[in-house]
Amino acid sequence: MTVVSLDEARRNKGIWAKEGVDVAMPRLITERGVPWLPKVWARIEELMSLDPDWDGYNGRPVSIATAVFALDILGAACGGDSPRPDIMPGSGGDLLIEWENGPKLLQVHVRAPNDVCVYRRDDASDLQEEELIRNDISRVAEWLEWLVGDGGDARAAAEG
Amino acid sequence: MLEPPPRDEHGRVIPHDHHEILDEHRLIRGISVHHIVRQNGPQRLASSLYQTSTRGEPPGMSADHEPWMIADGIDLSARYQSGRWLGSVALNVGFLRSLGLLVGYNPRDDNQYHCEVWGKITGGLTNKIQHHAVWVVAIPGIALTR
Repeated sequence: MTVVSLDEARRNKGIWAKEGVDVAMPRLITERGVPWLPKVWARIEELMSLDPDWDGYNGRPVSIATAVFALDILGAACGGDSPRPDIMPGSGGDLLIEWENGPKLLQVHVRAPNDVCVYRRDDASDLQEEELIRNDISRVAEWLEWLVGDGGDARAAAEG
Repeated sequence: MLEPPPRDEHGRVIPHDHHEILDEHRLIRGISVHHIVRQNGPQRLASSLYQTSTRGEPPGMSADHEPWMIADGIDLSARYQSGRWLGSVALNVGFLRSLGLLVGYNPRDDNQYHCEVWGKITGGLTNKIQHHAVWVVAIPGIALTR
């Protein structure tokens, strides 16, 4: 799996438009053929369209900037055989990306652009690590490789 | 009714441990349809349900004071199966405080029972809270954890 910088991902990205206008998929991602990307993008779009107070506690929809940054991360860290993540909203317009493979868990909490917390855990060992990152997504790619390293159930989700 | 929370000069609630919110009390957190993970594996509650918001000054995790609602005769089943909510989970106050978090009172105009959990809730603590939570109003077919 080739890792590229976020800057490179952005240079190849399709045009991002404001609400009401279609958003073009990042060309770099479609060229890689990540099979689940359209579904994940649909999920992210759903979370960007949440009503105010969607959670009953003044929750906000996922912000456009956060969504784009999350997509940048996925596009730069994932390849054609990467497993499909779960995408969940936070209350403040943030977004949580999560992968699971047996006892292994990887979470990428995109709080805002350049404000990301990456967490991994292995319930089969004492491994538990957390790291704050800005735009260096190499840790995400590295830990994603670790997650699927044993070729377990996570690969079953790669079909999308 | 809980004693009013401490506020700063701008009227914002200062994070605190409210002395009337006892360790044996529970806070109830409502669950939105968007907190249900449906993609990989059995449907379950999202980990993001147990994170602090990235908004607010300072940001916290919202939940409602169970004993007060019960004392006021609130039908919890009806409350948490209406409006934005499909169900709810309970979190023990003492457990939250044992994680180094503050549990205080932060009333809102539309929710006088609103409390807040303050502190850094990242991956490790999110997981602990997720495995601690119990159903109050269960959502059929939805697991609490993976």
